[in-house]
Amino acid sequence: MINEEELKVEEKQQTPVEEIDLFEQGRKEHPEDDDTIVKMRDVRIAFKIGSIERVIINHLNLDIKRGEVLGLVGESGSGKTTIGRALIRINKVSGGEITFNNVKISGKIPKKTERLLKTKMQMIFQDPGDSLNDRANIDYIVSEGLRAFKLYKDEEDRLQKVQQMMQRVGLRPEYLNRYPHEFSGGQRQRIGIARCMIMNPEFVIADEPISALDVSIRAQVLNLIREFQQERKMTVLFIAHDLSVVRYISDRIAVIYAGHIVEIAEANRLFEAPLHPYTKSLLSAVPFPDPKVERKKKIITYNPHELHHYVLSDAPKLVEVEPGHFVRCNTPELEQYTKELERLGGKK
Amino acid sequence: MSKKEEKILEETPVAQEPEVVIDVQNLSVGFTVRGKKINVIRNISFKVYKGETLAIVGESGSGKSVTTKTFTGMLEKNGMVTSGSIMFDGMNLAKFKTDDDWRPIRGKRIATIFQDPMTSLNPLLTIGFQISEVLRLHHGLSKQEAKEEAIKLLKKVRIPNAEARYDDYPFQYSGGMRQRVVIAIALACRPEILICDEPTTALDVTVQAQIIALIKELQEEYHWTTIFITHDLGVVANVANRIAVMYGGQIVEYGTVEDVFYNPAHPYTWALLASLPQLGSKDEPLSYIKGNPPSFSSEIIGDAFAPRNAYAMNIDFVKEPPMFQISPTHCAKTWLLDPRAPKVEKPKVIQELHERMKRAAEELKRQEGAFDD
Ligand SMILES: Nc1ncnc2c1ncn2[C@@H]1O[C@H](COP(=O)(O)OP(=O)(O)OP(=O)(O)O)[C@@H](O)[C@H]1O
Ligand SMILES: Nc1ncnc2c1ncn2[C@@H]1O[C@H](COP(=O)(O)OP(=O)(O)OP(=O)(O)O)[C@@H](O)[C@H]1O
Ligand SMILES: [Mg+2]
Ligand SMILES: [Mg+2]
Repeated sequence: MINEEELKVEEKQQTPVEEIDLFEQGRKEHPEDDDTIVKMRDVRIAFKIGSIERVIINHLNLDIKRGEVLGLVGESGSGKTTIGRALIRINKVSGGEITFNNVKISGKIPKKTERLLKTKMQMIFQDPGDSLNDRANIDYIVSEGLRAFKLYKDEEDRLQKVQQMMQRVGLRPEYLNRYPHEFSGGQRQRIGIARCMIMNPEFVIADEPISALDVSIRAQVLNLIREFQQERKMTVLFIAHDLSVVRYISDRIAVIYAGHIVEIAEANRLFEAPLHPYTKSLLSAVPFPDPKVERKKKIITYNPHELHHYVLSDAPKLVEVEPGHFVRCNTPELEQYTKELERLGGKK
Repeated sequence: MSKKEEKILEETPVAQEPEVVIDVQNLSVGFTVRGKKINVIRNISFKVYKGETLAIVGESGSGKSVTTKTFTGMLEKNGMVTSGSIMFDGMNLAKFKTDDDWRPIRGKRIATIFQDPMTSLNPLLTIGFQISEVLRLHHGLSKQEAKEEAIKLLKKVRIPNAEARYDDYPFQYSGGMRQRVVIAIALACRPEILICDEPTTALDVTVQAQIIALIKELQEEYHWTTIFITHDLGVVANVANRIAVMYGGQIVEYGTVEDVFYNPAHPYTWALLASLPQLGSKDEPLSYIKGNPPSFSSEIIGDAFAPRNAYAMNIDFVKEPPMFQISPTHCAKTWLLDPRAPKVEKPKVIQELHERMKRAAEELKRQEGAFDD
């Protein structure tokens, strides 16, 4: 439980956010780049295990457009969370650069920039239980960000903001004095969303926010995220392994396999004209709630060693095969994908 | 199977009633919690048919696991069957008490695969040892014979490089591979009934689809009966022959997959179907089930789903509905089926479920090889 004393220390530390907004400035200085909010250039992320370095992500290039929901899908262990955590600076980037509103946010950056970034970028975590401090009550958890950056006029204003947010996510204001363990998984995930959204972030990373939830409450949490996104024109990176969920919420989808983006396209286009064999295998696995359709289904397995014969002199690259549609391929594969697209017909 | 055979199979309705392997009648299960008795399974009756797959679907806490635990005597110490019968091969399993009673059944004739493969695997023993041990115990094979058979089984469940990976420990396998090993161990026992308790929930969709396909394929070869437990109605269209929908410790709807997907009758089944993201479209919010599942700590009066049911009538809050028979294969426990009840319209997404899904599949069909017609 958080006692009075601890709260006081917290009060002392709070300082208002700087007057000059670096990120607003970054946007103004590069109007030509303003439709891209996040850029990852040649990013490398590695973990040290003893003396051995394991490279999880290498040469990653990814643009996230302002106001879009970008779905990031791929199998367990492919590096989705690693990327999300690098964006909010939990994971160190050991090569390349990440920018937010054209301001560098990877590697060594000024304290001021880092602080300001925390008010603009928020993450909703995979496990609704683990991410909430069980010793703090809901009021404390939801207003933590507000307090740290003094984003309220007075106590009355703060309480009002918290209560409004509780209402928005469908939790009763009287729950404010309760503790996380008194809530169900779905309710805890909504507390996590409230804590994130109260900061009015520009950019949200939602890391499998519904995978741990019962199907019946998944829809509720999904709706909530979508409502916030549309109302505030927020940018969202939505991480998941289930394509049917991602299609429903995303504008574009990026498919990742073993640390590499293998295909990116508009959500509908990816379903309509998947090119990379891994994307096809993911699509073939989407279960349909329809016995007649399911009986005809065939699952495609992806076997990279049999399918790709990459050599150093013709290494695979992410290539734009039609406007907005990128696939990772080498030269012969590019030819094959181009033919495939012709056969499928252009974008509808 | 040839295309023609497939066609015939698809068009043949379940003609005569197939052989029943488990017949559950009026089963109730209770637990003692802090000196208080709670009723968790409330008077359920259903049949499991030979060689088929029965899916038990419902929210967390609805009683799926508890129901099937009574088939192998695996209820925790504070739980007991309080009434009813479970007939299996002329025996009433509800009357079984001691470990001696259960020994010939549990793991041998009725085996269970759990959600977390690590509950069934010992992290300190090699994969190979754990499979061959079962073979030696159950079938009295020699060490060498057991190893050969174990490698065969590993290949059956598609562990690549089975010989080399025989001596690996569980942590060296990925989640999906571990679950396949658990299937291999269950296979080694040659059970008549395989209970899969959410075997794929923790896995990602591709692995999940592969495991489901594997279970189906092996079922055709070994002719066992499967009980498949899940909270996701979206994944069972492919695996199940029949579906039992559970809510608040009761079966509220039971029927063939076609009955339940194309002609669902219980408002809870409607709500489950309507909330599937596969059925959602971008321009409308997904529907979801409001409120929380019932608590068992006080007696449930009337229809347990009534407080969350948009179609609830006054009677639902006072009187428990009986099970209404809709067709020889299909029944549901809702007052809406009473002849005196007003006619209601099912949610639109469900009325056009097959059309929506057919369209979605058509789109995907442009994708080479995913569907062959
Ligand atoms: N702190 C760490 N130290 C060492 N290795 C790590 C660390 N965090 C992640 N990894 C490794 O990085 C790889 C990618 O992990 P990551 O958590 O990003 O996967 P993911 O795509 O989010 O998977 P999931 O769908 O299971 O959440 C894995 O092989 C994982 O074991
Ligand atoms: N040992 C026990 N003591 C007391 N109550 C129990 C015990 N085991 C189960 N229950 C209760 O019985 C009810 C049904 O539990 P069960 O495990 O069958 O649910 P389930 O449908 O399998 O859910 P899930 O999808 O979460 O696995 C729950 O309310 C649960 O809390
Ligand atoms: Mg992850
Ligand atoms: Mg269970």
